[in-house]
Amino acid sequence: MNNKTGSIIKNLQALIKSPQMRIFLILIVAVFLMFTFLIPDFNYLKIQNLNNILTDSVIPAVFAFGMGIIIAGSGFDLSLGHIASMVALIVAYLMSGGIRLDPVSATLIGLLAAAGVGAVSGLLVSRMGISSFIVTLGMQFLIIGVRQIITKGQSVYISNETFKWLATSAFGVSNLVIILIIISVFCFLLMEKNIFGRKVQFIGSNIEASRFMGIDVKNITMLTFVLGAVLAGFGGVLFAARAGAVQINSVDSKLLDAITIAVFSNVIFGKYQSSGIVLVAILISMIGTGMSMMGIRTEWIDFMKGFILLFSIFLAKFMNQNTSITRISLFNTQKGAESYGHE
Amino acid sequence: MHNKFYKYLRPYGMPIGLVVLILLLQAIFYQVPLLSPLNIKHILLESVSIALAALGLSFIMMSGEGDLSFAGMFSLLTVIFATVANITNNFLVAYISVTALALFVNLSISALITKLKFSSFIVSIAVMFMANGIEKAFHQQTTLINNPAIVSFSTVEFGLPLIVWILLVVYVVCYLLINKTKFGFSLRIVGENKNAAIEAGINSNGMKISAYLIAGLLLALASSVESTRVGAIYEQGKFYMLPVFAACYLGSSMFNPGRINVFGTFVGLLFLATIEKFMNMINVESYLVAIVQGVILIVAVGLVAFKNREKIVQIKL
Repeated sequence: MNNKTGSIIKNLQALIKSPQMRIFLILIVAVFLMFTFLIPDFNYLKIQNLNNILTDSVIPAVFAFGMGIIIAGSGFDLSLGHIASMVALIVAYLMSGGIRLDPVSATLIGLLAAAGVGAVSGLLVSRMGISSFIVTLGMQFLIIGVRQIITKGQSVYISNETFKWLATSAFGVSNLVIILIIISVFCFLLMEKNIFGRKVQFIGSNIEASRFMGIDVKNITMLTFVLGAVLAGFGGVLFAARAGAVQINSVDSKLLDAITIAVFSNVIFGKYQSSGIVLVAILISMIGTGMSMMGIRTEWIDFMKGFILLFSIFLAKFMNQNTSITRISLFNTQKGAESYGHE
Repeated sequence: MHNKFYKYLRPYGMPIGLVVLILLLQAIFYQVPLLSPLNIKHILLESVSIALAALGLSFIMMSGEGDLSFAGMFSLLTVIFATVANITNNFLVAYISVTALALFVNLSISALITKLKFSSFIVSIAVMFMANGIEKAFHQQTTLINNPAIVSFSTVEFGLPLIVWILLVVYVVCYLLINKTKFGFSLRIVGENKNAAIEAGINSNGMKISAYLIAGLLLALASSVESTRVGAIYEQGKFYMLPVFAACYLGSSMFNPGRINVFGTFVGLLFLATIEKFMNMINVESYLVAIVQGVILIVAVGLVAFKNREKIVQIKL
């Protein structure tokens, strides 16, 4: 027991001492100080605001976990936002109107639907050898069609109080934050302390070598897509609980958050890292909250996120990171081995 | 003998199949005037802007890179065109400003990709999100052009509408440029085999940059056409992303299987436009159009992958 605590502390020390983490912490402190002095009356420092920043970072972080797992296997999923919208709609629809299902089974059915969509994308990518970018672009439009059939274009309101409990707060901290902690611990154990996660990262770094090593490339690639879709679907559920109503395309734009956070974390830490994803999510939420407190319109925050995405690649260049994402090339349908991984 | 014939016919299997499919649709739904001359004119007219954008993307993909930024840039450029045209009442000023912006953005993207070796996927997706953000900040509704003289750009007809003539001329010029000039050969070599390009002394960075610049020119033209024809619609570019990619990949499955080619893009695009028009004419709900487009994209790329399955060394993610 004592030995175990000791090793955890050692791990933490190594994490903080790593140069990437240092640069990142400097970045967070710089952003924090900037907004502290830019916003009058030190409003940025108030507990209420810090709490808001933390709560706002939860849903993007959950999406980014999904995207991060897929990117770790060198794939990409453009349909995550649409999957989340679909799940939120399904869950809201099952709990309202004539059906009135209980929240748990409604959520489970929604997540099952997400897993189905992820499995179809994964099958097409791993068995047919189609570029994941194309598969998920097509999937986006399939989902747009299907959800239009479900809702006929109307938004669904959620009246179930038990479901909304997900987004309420107890002891001053939102339940969402606790959920994020649970999910990040789960992803940490799965991706960094488990043989499955190792295999995914191995496939991401060199697919051919992993096949020669006897790794079941096809099934593991498919599983990453299923996992990513389920996590994104769960993000959609959290969004529905927080907003109390689901519009047909309300969660689509979360794709931007997912890509920005996952890519930023991937390039700065050089590999999949759960703590990195949480920290980047908090950083982006800090920037977003700070900008809106300065009176900048929310539309510019979207622009800012796109800019951060571009900036993160500069950072990777500056830090000499060479991860799967900095050389990802998804447009070639024909070129196998040379399309990525071999310069 | 039979084998030889099959080999000769094989590149044309896909386009012939598509034409037969359209003819079958017309035969089954004979009360719908799908292939009447007037309707064909409408199909051409409605697909001009997508066709120009798809041609630009074909250039980029032939050089071995890719681009998503047009999905954001397209609607941003239409807004700018409409706004400038309404302020100055001058077609040329609006067109030049749009072209300058498109060239500048594509030049920056290609500089990042070639000089700093960034992934074109990430750079262009970032640019797409940034363009969406700018568009959202300035403009969230449809802008129409008030000046009838400018709108007449898309309504003037000489047998066919002027913009359809422009489209055809641009496609012929690009076809000749790609297939008959030294520039076209160099561009395709760069996309095909990077090492061969270096050995042949081709400036591959320059080729990629010029591909992006040509795409910028075509995108500016596409957005001007769109702006004069239907006005600047908020976030329209997002819905063009799929048809444009589908046209390119569908095109890569015919004539020169496995490679993006100009004529293939054109035929693929016409097929998509005809199917969409057909579904509109038999009053199918709009969501089915989205589903069918998604399926066509996946099936087209899946066919290419399936045909060349012996060549596939590994899964391409």
